[in-house]
Amino acid sequence: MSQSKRRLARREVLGLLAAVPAVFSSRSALAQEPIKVGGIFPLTGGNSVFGNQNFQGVETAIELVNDRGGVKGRKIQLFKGDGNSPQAAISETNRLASREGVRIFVGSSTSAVGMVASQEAERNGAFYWEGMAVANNYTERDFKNVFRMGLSAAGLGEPAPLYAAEVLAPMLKIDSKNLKVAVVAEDSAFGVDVSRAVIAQAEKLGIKIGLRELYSAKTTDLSPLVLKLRSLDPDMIIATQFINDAILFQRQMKEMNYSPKAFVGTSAGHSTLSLAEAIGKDVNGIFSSSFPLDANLNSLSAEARADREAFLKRYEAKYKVAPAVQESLGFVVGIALARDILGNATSDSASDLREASLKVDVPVGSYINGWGLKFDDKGQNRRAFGSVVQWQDQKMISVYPAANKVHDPIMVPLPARNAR
Amino acid sequence: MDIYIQLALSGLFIGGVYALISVGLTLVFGVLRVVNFAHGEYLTIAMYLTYFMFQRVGIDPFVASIAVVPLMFVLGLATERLLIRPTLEAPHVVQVFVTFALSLFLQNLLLALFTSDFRSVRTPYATAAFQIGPLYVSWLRAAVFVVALAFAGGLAAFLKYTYMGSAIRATAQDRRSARLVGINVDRVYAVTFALGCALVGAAGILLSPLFSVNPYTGADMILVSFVIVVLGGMGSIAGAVTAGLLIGVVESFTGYLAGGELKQLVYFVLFMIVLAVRPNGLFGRKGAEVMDVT
Amino acid sequence: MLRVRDLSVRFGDVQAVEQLSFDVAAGQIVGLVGSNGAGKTTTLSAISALVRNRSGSIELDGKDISRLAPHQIVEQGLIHVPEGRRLFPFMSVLENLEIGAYGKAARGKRKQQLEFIFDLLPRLAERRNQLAGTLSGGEQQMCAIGRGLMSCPRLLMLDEPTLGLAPMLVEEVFRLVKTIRDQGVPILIIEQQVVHVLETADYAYVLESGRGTMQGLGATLLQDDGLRRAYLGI
Repeated sequence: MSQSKRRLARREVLGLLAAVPAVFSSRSALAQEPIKVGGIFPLTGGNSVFGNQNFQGVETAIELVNDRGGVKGRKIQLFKGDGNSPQAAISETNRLASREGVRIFVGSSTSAVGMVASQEAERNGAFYWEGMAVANNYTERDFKNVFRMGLSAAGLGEPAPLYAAEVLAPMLKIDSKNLKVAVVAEDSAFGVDVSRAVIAQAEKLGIKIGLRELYSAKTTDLSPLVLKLRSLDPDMIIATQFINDAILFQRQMKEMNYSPKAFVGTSAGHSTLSLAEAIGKDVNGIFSSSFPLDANLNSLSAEARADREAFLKRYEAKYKVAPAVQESLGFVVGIALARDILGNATSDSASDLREASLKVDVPVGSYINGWGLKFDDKGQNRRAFGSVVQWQDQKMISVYPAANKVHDPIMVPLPARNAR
Repeated sequence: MDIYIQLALSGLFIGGVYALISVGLTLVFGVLRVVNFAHGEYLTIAMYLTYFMFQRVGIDPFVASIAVVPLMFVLGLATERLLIRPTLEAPHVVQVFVTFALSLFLQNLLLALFTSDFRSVRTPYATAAFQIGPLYVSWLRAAVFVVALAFAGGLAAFLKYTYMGSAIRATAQDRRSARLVGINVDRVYAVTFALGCALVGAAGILLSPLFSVNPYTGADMILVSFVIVVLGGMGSIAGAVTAGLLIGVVESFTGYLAGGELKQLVYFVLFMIVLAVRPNGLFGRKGAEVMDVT
Repeated sequence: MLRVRDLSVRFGDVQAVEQLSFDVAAGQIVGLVGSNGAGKTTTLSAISALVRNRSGSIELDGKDISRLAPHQIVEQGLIHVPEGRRLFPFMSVLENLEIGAYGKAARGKRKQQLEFIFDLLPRLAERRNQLAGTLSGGEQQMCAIGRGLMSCPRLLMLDEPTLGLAPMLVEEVFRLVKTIRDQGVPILIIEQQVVHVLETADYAYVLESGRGTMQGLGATLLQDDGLRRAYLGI
């Protein structure tokens, strides 16, 4: 093959690759030029469970907004960027920026991906809308055009000890000062940050931490940990776990006939349907401090109630299951970006979007999970708060705080496993 | 004291599964001199097969093995014929590319077919346990351990007492001589590779009631297997079994005594110490590779 | 019995064997002599199909075997005992011998063939459970020949069977070669021990740079002045 021919062939291949996102993007009529938004999520690889769930939520929100007529008559075109690793997140952000002319990004499921993708967007002068990455230092980087609508690790973890002191301790008839808590976490940045926030909050409340134990989420045997817990015998376990290790942990506690009086997870593995699929009725009674799944309907605005209904209908029609926490979060992040930022900005340039973000003032209860939107000077949403859900009858039910509560907690203290 | 016995038991049980996964890997390396980076994906495939047979048809994983193990064998035969055989004469780096690419391809194929959701086989006996004095013994883990060792023992007997087994050992030691005593070396390669897949398939079946599966499960599990294969001595079945059990127990004890985050650190340190003292691994034999020209 | 015509082997640019023709008749020991690099080992490897890029015809008892794979050639009874013994080092002597009878035809006669070999080479019987890799050079050679015999050969090809052996053992190997011939198995032997081969062989071919340059009865070649000068330094 001659040199020139080879070059031509490569250009053709690149052309084909460039056409791929167009196939995935929403099929809007291009009467007016669409607003291009790039979603940077891990869609393949180890973290892709949450990445896909988040993306599905965002996508549902964008489709809903488009079907309602778009943003000031313009449709939103959503591009997929597979940030399956930090390196991929960088190259996908750049690809969408240079090849598709995307100037608005949304992400990113994990902090590892979100931190680098937002940095890359900032460097390109683009706008980055973060929903899921929780790293505490995410908003400490003095970026101009990066805003986090979702929670920090602290925001995600703090409801667990708060709920323990406020609700669980009285139900267990233990003074919260005498409550003995073991903190268990997987050892990536997620587990480390969240468990640290849990401990800080617990100590503030005077709760004693009996044990803080980290382990790798890829572990195949957690029985040593169960043995340790058994000998410590805490009243409560607060665990930050991904899916597989959360399942393994529950199964091995059962094998070794061990149970604390209360078990509180912190999102991720404990707020996903796979847990119920894996352990069945044993899931009942487990709490999870979490991005809110649902809100108390009375605390929602009329618009949020309509959104909620539309979201549930669309999601269930498309995926044949009820949305869980991460899908619902994706939806909120997508709706907020489309309606309250793009909808109020003078243009879709990064500086106008920044302007709109700084000005935005959406009251609590305006989104389906009960959140509102108001940024502090670091670009962190002050109207996002964590909540606590409990598995009841193998479904996640919001139990805390009051604005989200749809049902009372049950099974405190945890009954024997055959009674769950 | 009780706790240490409990830890040793837990470690041995999981070590039995490590051993079974590693035995297939080391066998394929010993005979074909190919490091199969897609070994973990065959574990994943077997777990999915087991999951779907359980979910759709309601077949118990242990019963499903009757169908899944032969299926994995056939899949191995096909892979060897289509991908491995054409590259056997090529430089090692080509084989690395081929098996590595296969690994990525299979991961993404599984992702496209089944999404990245975790799927769990939920058997009533998954968490059943019995108690001996102060010890808790999971029926399932104990059974998995016994079956895993039975498979490894079965393999050893097959290699020792059958014509095909002798041919496999002979080919591993000297392919040229193997041809000269009338062994169809191409067939030995095919059978060996397929056996490797069937064994890791068996491990997948045994693991499926214990662990949830998604397209990356195998890749996560296989890391420790590479350590085990080298630690035991590349190509050595006895080495893989011993190192598998050893790593299982070491993990278990460090998990308890030093904390879960140090588990891997400790076994990598152990790994380096063993290799410093015995560069060919616990059961490795120096020069086994040098015997292989042609 | 074995009939080779116009055998040529190329390795890239190098013509290792060119237009070589020779025969091995029933009941004969045939020698293939020549200096290092003359193409002797390549010739044997070409016959047993270990080397593929070859041309010419190879017939065993009138049957063309040039398209068969190595294991099929073994099945035809043409057995190649390679240079440097090449035993399976981590198998016992007994296992090495038993695997010699891997071919389907030989499997049935494994027991009686084993008895025959232990009779012929009692030292192997003593060491039957020892790992082959730990035998002495002479014992390894005996074991390699024994492994070849286990295949119930119709014709045995020996590649440098005395390489690296002490003079006393060399004698022993040649005695064994004659015994095997007398049992009715013709032998094609390649050797650098030219005098010994020519003394032992019924017929011999001389190879130089891949070509056959001379042939004749062993005893006749032994008298040839040119050959004596070239190989014996006389």
